[in-house]
Amino acid sequence: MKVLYGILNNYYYLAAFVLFCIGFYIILASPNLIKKVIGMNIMDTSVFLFIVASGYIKDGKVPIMSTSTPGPTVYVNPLTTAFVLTGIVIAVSKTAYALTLITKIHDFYGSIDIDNIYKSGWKWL
Amino acid sequence: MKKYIYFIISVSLFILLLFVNSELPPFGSGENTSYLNNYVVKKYVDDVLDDTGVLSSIAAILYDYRGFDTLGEATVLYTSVLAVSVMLKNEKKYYFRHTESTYLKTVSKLIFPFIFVYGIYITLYGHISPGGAFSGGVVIAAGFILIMLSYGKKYCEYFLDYYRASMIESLSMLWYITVGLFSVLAGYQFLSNKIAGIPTGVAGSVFSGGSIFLLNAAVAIKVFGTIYILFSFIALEEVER
Amino acid sequence: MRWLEEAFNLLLLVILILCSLVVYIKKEIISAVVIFSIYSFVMAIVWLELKAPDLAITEAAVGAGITTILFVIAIKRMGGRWD
Repeated sequence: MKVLYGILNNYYYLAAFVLFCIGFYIILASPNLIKKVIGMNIMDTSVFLFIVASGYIKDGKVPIMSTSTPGPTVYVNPLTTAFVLTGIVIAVSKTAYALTLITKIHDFYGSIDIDNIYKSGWKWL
Repeated sequence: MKKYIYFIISVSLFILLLFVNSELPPFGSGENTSYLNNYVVKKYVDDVLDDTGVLSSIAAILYDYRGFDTLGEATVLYTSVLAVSVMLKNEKKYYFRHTESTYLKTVSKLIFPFIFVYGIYITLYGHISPGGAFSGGVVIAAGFILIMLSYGKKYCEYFLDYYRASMIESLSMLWYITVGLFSVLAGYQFLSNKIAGIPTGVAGSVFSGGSIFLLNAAVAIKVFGTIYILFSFIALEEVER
Repeated sequence: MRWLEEAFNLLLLVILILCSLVVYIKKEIISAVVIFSIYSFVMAIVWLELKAPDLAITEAAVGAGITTILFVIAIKRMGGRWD
């Protein structure tokens, strides 16, 4: 019963968890190396979605002040936005690094399919 | 057979997370890490005008309250460029270009100044409106990448080659550290802004915020240099047949 | 009209999950990359719904623009064909 209430109340967290599991499954089960990188990006965005959704508040405003009317208002948490903003840019550089490694693997083995790489003599993993 | 095992692992992970989901505070209420009952967030939102003199509290967190974290993040970008350039520096690959598209060249030449000016606008207004250094640097780099893809890599390297881009990137990092050292010379902590006596100007105008304005520009140039160098390594050289 | 906004948010989340499933199902890499670009763009709208416009600008520039071109250039470098 408590699980059902959890599903009904916070569906944003639930969507983040579903996306995390799908990205995890893509990394494990897909034989293509580029698809593994896409799955890693999906896991990244799911974690970002969980972090930002945990800082949201109903009827909250964007945390940008105004000099004219300083009234009593409720703001969304700015700390989670600041964390995730650095995380997105780091995800791009990490993707570029992973793709560079994949191009080197393709130059060496002639394939980016993990099964073909196993067949062509990469035994120790 | 292997795929069934992976599927069972993923589904069991999801069921575990489902029980975690039922224990979390409800979405959108004040019980989670929100403005209402978190001391740190309340200070960041309420005192931002008095402490730093900028309107956007996200820019204040990134470059004033937690400016040291942003320095570490710039180091991560630097390391990524270093790793990619170690692997791809001495490798030359060519491909033959088949057709010359006049439409692509003309439209990209028309669009490029607008993208460039928009990126600079996002960067300079980052501390009083949504935007900021990260998205501004990425937008400027996107304009250069458009030129690189439509005119060829050699044309783009004619006015910004690898050595100049890496020089720009390293100098922006040095700029960040130098701005942080100003407050050390005044006798305060590293990267402290208003307490160290840096003038912050009128809140709401473009040239306000003291060191936040300078650090914003530094990080924008840093992100631009990083993405430009990554693309100039991964993109292929073109040879006219 | 509160329920209409909630229904819109739910629709966005369902589109996200469907996109991530299609990425796994599709056999061609280039179509998986394009679907991932759509995923990033829908994610930018989700950031806007969660009152984080900085993230929306950054995700629309980075996820839908830069990452997609990066994947396409890397596939081209490996000699992939998509015509």
